[in-house]
Amino acid sequence: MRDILHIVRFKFRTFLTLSTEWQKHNIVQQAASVFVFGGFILGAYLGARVATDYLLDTAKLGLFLLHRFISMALFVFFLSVNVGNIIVSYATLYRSPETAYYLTTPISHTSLFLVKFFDNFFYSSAAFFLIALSVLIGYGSHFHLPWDFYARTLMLMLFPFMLLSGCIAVMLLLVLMRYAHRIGIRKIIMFLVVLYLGVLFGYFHVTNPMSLVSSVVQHFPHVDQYFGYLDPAIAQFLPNHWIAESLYWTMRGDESHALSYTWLLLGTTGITFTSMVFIGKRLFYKSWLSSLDLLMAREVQSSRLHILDLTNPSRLNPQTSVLVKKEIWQFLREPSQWIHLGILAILIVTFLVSVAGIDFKQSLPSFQTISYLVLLIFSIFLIASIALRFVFPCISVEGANFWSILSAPVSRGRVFWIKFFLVFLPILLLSELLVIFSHRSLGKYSAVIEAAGVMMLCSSFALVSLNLGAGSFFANFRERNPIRIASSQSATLTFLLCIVYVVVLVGVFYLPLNGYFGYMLRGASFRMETFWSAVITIAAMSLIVGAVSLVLGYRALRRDY
Amino acid sequence: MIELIHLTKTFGSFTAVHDLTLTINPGEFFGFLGPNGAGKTTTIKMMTGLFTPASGQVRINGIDIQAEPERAKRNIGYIPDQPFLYEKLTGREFLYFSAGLYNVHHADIAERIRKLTEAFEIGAWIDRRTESYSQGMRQRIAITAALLHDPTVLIVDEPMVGLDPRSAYLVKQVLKERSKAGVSIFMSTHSLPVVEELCDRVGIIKEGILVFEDTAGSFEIFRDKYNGSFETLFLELTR
Repeated sequence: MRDILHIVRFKFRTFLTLSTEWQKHNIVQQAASVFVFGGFILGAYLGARVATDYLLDTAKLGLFLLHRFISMALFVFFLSVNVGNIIVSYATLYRSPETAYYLTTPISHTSLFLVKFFDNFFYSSAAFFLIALSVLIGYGSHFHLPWDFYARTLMLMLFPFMLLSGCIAVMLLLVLMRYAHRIGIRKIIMFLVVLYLGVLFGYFHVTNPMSLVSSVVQHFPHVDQYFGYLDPAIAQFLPNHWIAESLYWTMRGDESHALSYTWLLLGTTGITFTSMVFIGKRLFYKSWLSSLDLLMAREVQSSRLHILDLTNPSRLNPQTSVLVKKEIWQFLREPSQWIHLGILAILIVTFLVSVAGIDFKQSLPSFQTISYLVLLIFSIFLIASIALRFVFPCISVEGANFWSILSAPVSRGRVFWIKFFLVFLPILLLSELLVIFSHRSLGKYSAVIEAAGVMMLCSSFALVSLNLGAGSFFANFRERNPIRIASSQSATLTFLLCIVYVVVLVGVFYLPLNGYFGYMLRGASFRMETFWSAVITIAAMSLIVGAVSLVLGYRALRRDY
Repeated sequence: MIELIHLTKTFGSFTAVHDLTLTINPGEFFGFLGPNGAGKTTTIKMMTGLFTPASGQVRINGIDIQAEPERAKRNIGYIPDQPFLYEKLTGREFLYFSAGLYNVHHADIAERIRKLTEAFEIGAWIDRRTESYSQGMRQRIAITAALLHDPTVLIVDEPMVGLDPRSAYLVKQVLKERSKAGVSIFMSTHSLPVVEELCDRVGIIKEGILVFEDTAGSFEIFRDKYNGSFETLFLELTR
């Protein structure tokens, strides 16, 4: 225990030192972080409040169905925390030089494992925790609940719930890494992808939300009564169901019933945590050694991708060719990069398929404008999130290896532009796919479709350039983990700039768009020049934002290394 | 040929290198010594284009590295003190990557890699990812990469760090051969025996200022003065 406290004390001291360096750029970055996270928290609170009000007061959904929806949302949340913990734990337990260093010191492996586990857990779950808290406050404010409800739910339900998810993730990781060198990393990753998709699909297949809703609404207006017999048997064993049940019975005023689920959750978390410590004690060091074997065993099968093989000649300029191939291999061989990309790709495909099936047509111009802007903002934010995660870190991930390029006879412009085009082209393709899929129901508004095509092109350029430029300007060559780079304070500041860009874009486009829909739906007088002027203004603004970012980023790349 | 002309580098109010002037002729092996933090790596980083000097010039074969960085760097082979390599590439891929950056004719790369990897006894490691390499193996790959394009100027920062005696011997042999073949070599090191064995000329830097620079002949005179010990001379000058 003493060694754990010793490490934690020094970690905390380092954190405090770094976060209280009152330099100008630190203050700006911290202010931006507070602003962005504050915005997210406020948005989550308002969203939860509005959704609860709507579902209970307007849609008259009833307490039972509301809490079943909460249960489903919590299941997805549980899986998200789980995946987040697996990814971050892999990096910090097996790839971190800090872990390797501590293993050379007389600290017990169990203590080290626990320190790293909580380090991972708080790092990968802190944002989830804040968002969950604000959603809880939004939900609770509908029922005018006292403050102790939030404190109790937070500490006795949300925290154990997330801890349980983190413990399961780490146990799974420990077992897989112990045998990874025998199974092979590719098979393990495929197994995890299939496992998570299977669990997600299986859960929604068994709970069947559509059937549940239709069964409950048959009893309308008596939908507040308890329909527990409709729950599948498996639900009784799931922690998300326990929280939903506890909340449901709390709202019904049956505290003792609610408390039984709380105890169930606490007990399960306690047992799982103890099991994790036990497994960690048995397997952490062995699995760490196995991860070294895995590292040694990695041979490259380059013959499969002849065109990307560095040893093969190319028609491109040799410098361009090797830089492009290096970028691609560096990405494809880094699990934290392509696993995240894979998860995002699944979510994007799901979004594209879903959005293609939604009818966005409205009868009132103001509703049409708002529904269209929501769609547009969501699409741009999707691009901004991808850019933040994959474009922002792409200069920093060069890390200590960058000497080999910077000391070679390669122009830094070539390096910069190769990085730009390698990320811009796929993102541009995605943004145009978003336009095609999301506008299927809006076919009669041809001007809007054309404008969306232009705006998404310009936004992609602006957002990619902004993230690449800022990533170069704030480059941190000491941090090797791209996830940490993308969640740093400078990344948050960049995301804030993206938000400002989106706000200005919406501000410029709102009135002309509303006028256009008024003309199309109500025949109100409207000059199309106004509409196109707004589009041209947005295009010009995007080009300026993009160009300035690229110039700053390129200049930053010419600084001392 | 390497020319450092009134080279100065500052970081804020701190002067890391002050008014450094040196010339290393073709075929000359120059040893650059100094205590930790004296400005050796800063000087090397300016010579390789990784740092911009506050004032002064670095000329490689007469080409100003600030004015024409790409042309100047074509002549340089650089071996850093910490041989960080792209971990996700194999040794062979890294060498092809490096050769591509220097525009080495593709048909020649395989043969050059074969010769150099044989010389440095890299063996089967060449097809493993560099993330599994020891420090010594990384150093061997970094040295191979620096020699692939047959540079006329070699800039070497602490080449013996992490090398076992056999690897160190191999590196010294290769450096001697290159020097004899007319390559200008600028080597920073802490190893006084290595300097004595390899270098034609030495320079000692302390707190950014060159406190000693002379030929091996003059160096012998100094050595006699300090009881025959170069170590004593070094300690005296850097005290």
